[in-house]
Amino acid sequence: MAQVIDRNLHIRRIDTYVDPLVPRERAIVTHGHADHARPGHKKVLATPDTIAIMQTRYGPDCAGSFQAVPFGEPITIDEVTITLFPAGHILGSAQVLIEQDGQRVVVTGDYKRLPDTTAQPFELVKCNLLVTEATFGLPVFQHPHPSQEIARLLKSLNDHSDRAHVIGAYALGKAQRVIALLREAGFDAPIYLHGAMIRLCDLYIERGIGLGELRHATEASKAEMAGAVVIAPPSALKDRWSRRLPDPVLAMASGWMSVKQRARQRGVELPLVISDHVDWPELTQTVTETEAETIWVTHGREEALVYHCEQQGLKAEPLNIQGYEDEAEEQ
Amino acid sequence: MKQFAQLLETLALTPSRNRKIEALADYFTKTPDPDRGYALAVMTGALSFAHVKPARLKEVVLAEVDPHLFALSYDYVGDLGETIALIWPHKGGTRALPALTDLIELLNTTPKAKIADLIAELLTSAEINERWALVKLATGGLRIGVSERLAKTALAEMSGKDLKDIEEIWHGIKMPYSELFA
Repeated sequence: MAQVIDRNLHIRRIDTYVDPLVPRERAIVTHGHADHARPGHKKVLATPDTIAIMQTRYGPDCAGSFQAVPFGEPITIDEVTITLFPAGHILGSAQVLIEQDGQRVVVTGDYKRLPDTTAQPFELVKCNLLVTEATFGLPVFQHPHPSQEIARLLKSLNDHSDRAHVIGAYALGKAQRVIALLREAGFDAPIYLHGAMIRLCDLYIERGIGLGELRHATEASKAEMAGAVVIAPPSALKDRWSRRLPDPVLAMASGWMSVKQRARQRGVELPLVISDHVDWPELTQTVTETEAETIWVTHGREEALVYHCEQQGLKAEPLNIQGYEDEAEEQ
Repeated sequence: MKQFAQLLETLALTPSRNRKIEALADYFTKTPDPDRGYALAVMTGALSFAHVKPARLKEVVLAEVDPHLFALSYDYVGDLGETIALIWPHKGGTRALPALTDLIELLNTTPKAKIADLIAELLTSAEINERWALVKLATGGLRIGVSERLAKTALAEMSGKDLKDIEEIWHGIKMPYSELFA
């Protein structure tokens, strides 16, 4: 099976890489996060949403040419068939199915299975070789339903109505998801954005994701921000930027926030366990449901997942791909 | 137990000393005797259980979770109590836990042979935050940033007494300290 794809995610027969970290002739990009989507490739194949995200972040000419491929539409090149399936991670995020000589390989990219109205929902794809992430690949990671976490945020807003609630969230994907979750929970007040959030929120709105009324945090008065929700990149939480907010409650939306020790280290008072990656139960469920005989683990807590797969009688190995250390969660 | 778990979380995550005092005073005001006295004892490390030790808890967990996966998780999380709370298969709070006083009574009076079953049952009933508080309670070593001094300051604040008076009463009384709150 190693002839279909190698451990650098190189599809040999068509000389194409999945999520290459250095500029390549041909690349398939699973989603728009910077550790998977790099500028400078000659030809990029991706979903229309991912291409729009890349062009917004890196400029319209960040690749020599783009081939937009909708979900579920197979493309055959030199007897290799490529099909993209939704990964549920962020808007446009895809898993890549590669079929050659009767073998099926799925590269998941980053993915999650809990509901998210800002991303096309994950679809399970059966395969022989599953190339999966394992960002939260330890059994201590059991993510709660996001609506529970939003309920805790709303309670805190209610209990501390004089304090701004600044939520650290990565600018692509997490920010828009938190806003959409708040809207679903009936929160209809304006939400204030750090400058780094604005471009990508506008892009989501353009592509049909409703986010309600958004305002620029820098243009709002201090009084206006009392009891308001502000979304900022995690790096801005402890920065001078958040000091001008009225007595802010520092919150953070991330799968890592289940570990209290970790929340404490970052000075987070209100940890919101909202993750765009599968947790341990979903990860092991996916491994089983794909019916793959071989599992490769690209990045994350590889050791535990490889061990688990071996216990189940599957072949498994870590790829230790450097550079996928998930910016969305680590920042 | 729900309120106590919430208090422990607030204390663990609130960096501000004043807000910790506020949270403590608020809890002491709203919680009846003897729960609040026992809560104080737990937070100041005055309470321990003969049959409930960290090693016991670990045994209970290892009956449920693969030991190698537990070891990898413990390496990653770095805190035994928190690892146990996070790794226990989440059932999402199937049953309300007993009040703090009843819980302490249970942990004190359950015979050694039955303590493992009791702990497993409690861990399964608890919501995630309660599970964390439960493990903290059972193992001692709270590490939530509450010193005896801070607790006394909160008591002084809620009762309007002098810190000095609180300290005087403190030394002469026993758990659950109802005289302190009077």
